[in-house]
Amino acid sequence: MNRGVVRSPLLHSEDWWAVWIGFAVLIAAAFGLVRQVPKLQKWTTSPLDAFQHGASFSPDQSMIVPVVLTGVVLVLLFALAIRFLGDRPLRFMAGFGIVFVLAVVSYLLSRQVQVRAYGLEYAVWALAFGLLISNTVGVPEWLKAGARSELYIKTGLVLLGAEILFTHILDIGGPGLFVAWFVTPIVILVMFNVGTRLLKIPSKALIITIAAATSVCGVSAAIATAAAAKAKKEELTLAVGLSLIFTVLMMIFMPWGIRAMGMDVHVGAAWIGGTIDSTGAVVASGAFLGPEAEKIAAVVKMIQNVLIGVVAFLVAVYWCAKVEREGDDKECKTRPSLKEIWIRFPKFIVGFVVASVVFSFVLMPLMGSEAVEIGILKHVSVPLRGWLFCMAFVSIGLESNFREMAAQMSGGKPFILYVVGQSFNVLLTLLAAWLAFGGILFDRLVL
Amino acid sequence: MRPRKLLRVLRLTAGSLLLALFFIVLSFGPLPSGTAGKVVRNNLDEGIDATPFFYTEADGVASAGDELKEALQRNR
Repeated sequence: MNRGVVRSPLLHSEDWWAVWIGFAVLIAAAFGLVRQVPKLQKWTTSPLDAFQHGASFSPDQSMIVPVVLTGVVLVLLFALAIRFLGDRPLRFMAGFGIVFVLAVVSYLLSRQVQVRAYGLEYAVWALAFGLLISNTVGVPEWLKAGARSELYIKTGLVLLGAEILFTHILDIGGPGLFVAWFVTPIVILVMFNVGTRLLKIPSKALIITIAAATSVCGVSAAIATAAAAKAKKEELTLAVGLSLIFTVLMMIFMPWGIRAMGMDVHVGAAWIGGTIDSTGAVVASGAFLGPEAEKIAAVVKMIQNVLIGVVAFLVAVYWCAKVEREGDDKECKTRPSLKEIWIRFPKFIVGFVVASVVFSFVLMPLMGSEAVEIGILKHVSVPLRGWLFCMAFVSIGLESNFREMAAQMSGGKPFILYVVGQSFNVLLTLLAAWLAFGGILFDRLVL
Repeated sequence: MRPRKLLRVLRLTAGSLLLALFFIVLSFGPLPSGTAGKVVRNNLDEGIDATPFFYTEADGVASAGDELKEALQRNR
């Protein structure tokens, strides 16, 4: 740098700032300094009902002030990061205001009871608002300054790491682990090979993002993997769009198919849990088959959710060690050193893994399950991550344009990849569900 | 206002109206009949939220895990 001043990456990289902000929130929650982040409630006819008190806010307290306060705290935290990253904090704050308002509106629309029942998540509305603005009137520079999708995603992912509680999942054991962990890696590898070798899709980042969304857990896996593989925003939008459409279709038709075929409910539930992308749709489909099916489907999905951390970590390592070196023939022929991998490695993944390990193996035994899962995660980390991802999707919409997205479609190949991968996933998961929950490899469960 | 700018504003207005219409039809319109509407209707009747991405956002998933754990222990 100028005059020999060395800028520490710990203070001047977006990845590290995502880690610091994420950790600051988690530490504040663990010490009881932050007890609640507002979450909008469901509403039927009046959107104002969404701002009624949440479970642990006082009953007569409107959530409008807490929501505004959340925005204020976030803008101050991120403005600090922006200052260190060398951009203009005031311009960021102006853009952030609009992004946050659009995020609130998106969240609000997704909380309407009938929209909730269709499974149309806030990502749908947030992307729609962003895309609408960017593809009609365009995005002014000051608004672009607030659309920091990667910073919001990375910070949200550090918080997501805390939600991946390995000990909790491993306790459940046996059949669920078999369905979720046997199928998922196979589907990812098959889809990656189909995408690169058969369909010859030029972007490996797009392929892995679609593969993770299909085989792990839809939108959240797409976000984590896209960030790890440094995918373009249009690629993430495409993967999320495919996942959202097929999630709704599968939520509606899979339980109907299971009933029509007269399939064993436990096998059908595990099949649903292993194939439908998002947890909400899995719970809805399972519930349609009955309470036992709801539980089994939800647990299989929960176990599969945990793989998001492993997949994001491995993708980040593979990208640093191989994919990013492919452009350079000389580099490609040599083995990368650990130092080189570390330099290229997305550092927010470190925060993601550390958060998961600390929460699973330190805080859970130390503080107990209820304090961690309710006090920190349910009341603080989960709703805050929701706001961050919602702002990220608004920003992604604002940064994407239809022409670029159409170019990514390259003759419908991503669509073909999703359909082929999901079909393979459906067949393989059915086999695994039958082996694990049909009384073949494990005793039948009596719930 | 310049014609090009006007056209952009008109596009934004038309897009916003379409989005609003989509939301109104979804939230206040009739549910699909037959098979397509069954799961959605069940979600409405049972108050099920089908929107969560991740298991920590969905109510009852963690307790379902505990019940399954107990069932497995009983089986052993």
